[in-house]
Amino acid sequence: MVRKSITCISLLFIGCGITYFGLDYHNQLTSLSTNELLVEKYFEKEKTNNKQNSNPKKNNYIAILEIPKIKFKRGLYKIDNPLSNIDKNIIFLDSSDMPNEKNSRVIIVGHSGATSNAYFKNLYKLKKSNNLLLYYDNIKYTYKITDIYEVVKNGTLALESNKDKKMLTLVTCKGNTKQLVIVATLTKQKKF
Amino acid sequence: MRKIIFVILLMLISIPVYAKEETFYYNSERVESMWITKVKGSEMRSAHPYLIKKRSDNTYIFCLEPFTLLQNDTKYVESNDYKKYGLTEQQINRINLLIYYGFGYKNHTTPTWYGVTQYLIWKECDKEADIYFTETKGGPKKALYTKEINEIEALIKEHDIEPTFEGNYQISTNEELVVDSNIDLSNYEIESNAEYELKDNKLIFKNLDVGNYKVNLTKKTNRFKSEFMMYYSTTSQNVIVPGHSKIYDKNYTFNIDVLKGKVSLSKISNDSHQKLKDAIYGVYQNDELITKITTGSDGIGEAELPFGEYIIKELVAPKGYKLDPNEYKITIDENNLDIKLTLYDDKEIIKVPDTGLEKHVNFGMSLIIIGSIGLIYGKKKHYMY
Repeated sequence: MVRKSITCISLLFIGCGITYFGLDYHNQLTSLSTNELLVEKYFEKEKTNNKQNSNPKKNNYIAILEIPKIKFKRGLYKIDNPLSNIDKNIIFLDSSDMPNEKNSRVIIVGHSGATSNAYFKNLYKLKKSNNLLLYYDNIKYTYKITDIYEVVKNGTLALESNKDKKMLTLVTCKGNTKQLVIVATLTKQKKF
Repeated sequence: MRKIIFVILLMLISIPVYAKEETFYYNSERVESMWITKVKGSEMRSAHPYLIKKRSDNTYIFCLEPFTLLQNDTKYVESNDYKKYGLTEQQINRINLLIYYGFGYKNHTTPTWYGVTQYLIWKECDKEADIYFTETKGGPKKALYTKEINEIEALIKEHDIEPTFEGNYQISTNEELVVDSNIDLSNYEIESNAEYELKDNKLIFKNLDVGNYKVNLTKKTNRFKSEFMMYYSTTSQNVIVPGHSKIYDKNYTFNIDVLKGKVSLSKISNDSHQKLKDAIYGVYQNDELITKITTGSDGIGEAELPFGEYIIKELVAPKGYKLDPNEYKITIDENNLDIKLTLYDDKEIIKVPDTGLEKHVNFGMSLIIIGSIGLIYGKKKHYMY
């Protein structure tokens, strides 16, 4: 009897664990297809320059981040959009500039790890001089990575402010105690 | 030994010491078209000027005693003691200038020029006499050869002009210095360790590096290889052989100090007062970026700058600090060569959310591990009982 109970409870635990991973995998698949759809919608909207959609729906992306080196392409919501949530997506940091601002300093953060929403899990593969592409308001901004470094995770970030350059910074975790910071400088921009 | 010394002394006494002698002559060579008349007291003399030469090398010489006869090949004694000739040093200097710019100077080569030069020398030698040109022997005074006289006098006047440039100039490396003087620079040899351009009688210096430079101007008065010499005789007119005189020497020097100023920036955190490194400031002049200054580990950055006005603004703030929005205007000149600025940056706090998901993975894994342990434990219990 006791043995049967232990076995049942154990199987329950294992089942919950597997379900947990299963759900996570399902979320990953859903997120992927949603993202693909939204990215496609974004480029269509930009192409047609749809004035009627100048106030985008709340579930539309306002920008796309593409990293060719790691085959990454994901959208970003407006900062004040409830979907701009780090547990669900990559996001513009609250204090981030938009790329079309003068001497802009764009900061994008995302999770790393092994779960479905660890969108920045492959950032560690990037090297200096790799390109980052940011699509925003009908302009394709190309940034070249100039600096990659790690800092101790303390809830804050110390970044360089440059009067003459437009910068893009990607931030994610590395392990439990460190933060990976990737800094890139704008090299060109053009309409797409 | 005493005998040897005595013999030497005797020899020395015996050697006659002579002042150098020379002889002079004139022949039929004279300025036919020219009459010079001298009137002094009741005496009047009028004659063509004869061209006198030195016997040893046929150099043309000049007479210092108007209308005193020259005895050909009389022995003369050389002496530059002007008092011997009843002249002052001032008169000798003027005579030497007349000789330099008169006959033999550039295109002053005809006998007319010799005559005019001699005429002017006589007038200088005997100021109490009335010496003038006439058209005929003993004729009335005429204003003749005024072109030649004016030309010689103008050259002497120009010789006496002193330059108006300063003794010392201070400029910066990006400045151009134009030295304008009232002397004719084409008459001067110019020596300098600074590069220059001579244009429109002006010396132009530009793009000089920091340092001290000297410019030396020496008048080109090198007509004669040897010194002038005067000769006197008790039985013949005194004469002067043209040669170099120190009155011809004109030498001027001025210095140029090329300076650069310095600006030092000290960068400090506004809250912690910590010295900040890696701040980059741009130095602008007329909206053009001249140079950048980067602060080091001591929070200090420096740059050397030529004279001028500049605007300094921060281009890159150190990590974790906001850009300094201010612009700083500075002026570097000879009174402000070392400028120090203390500049501040405010700390910037960028909050970043937690971006690690390991705990989520760990949770799932933990459930599976606990379940597995439970299964293994259950099986063990079955085999035990």
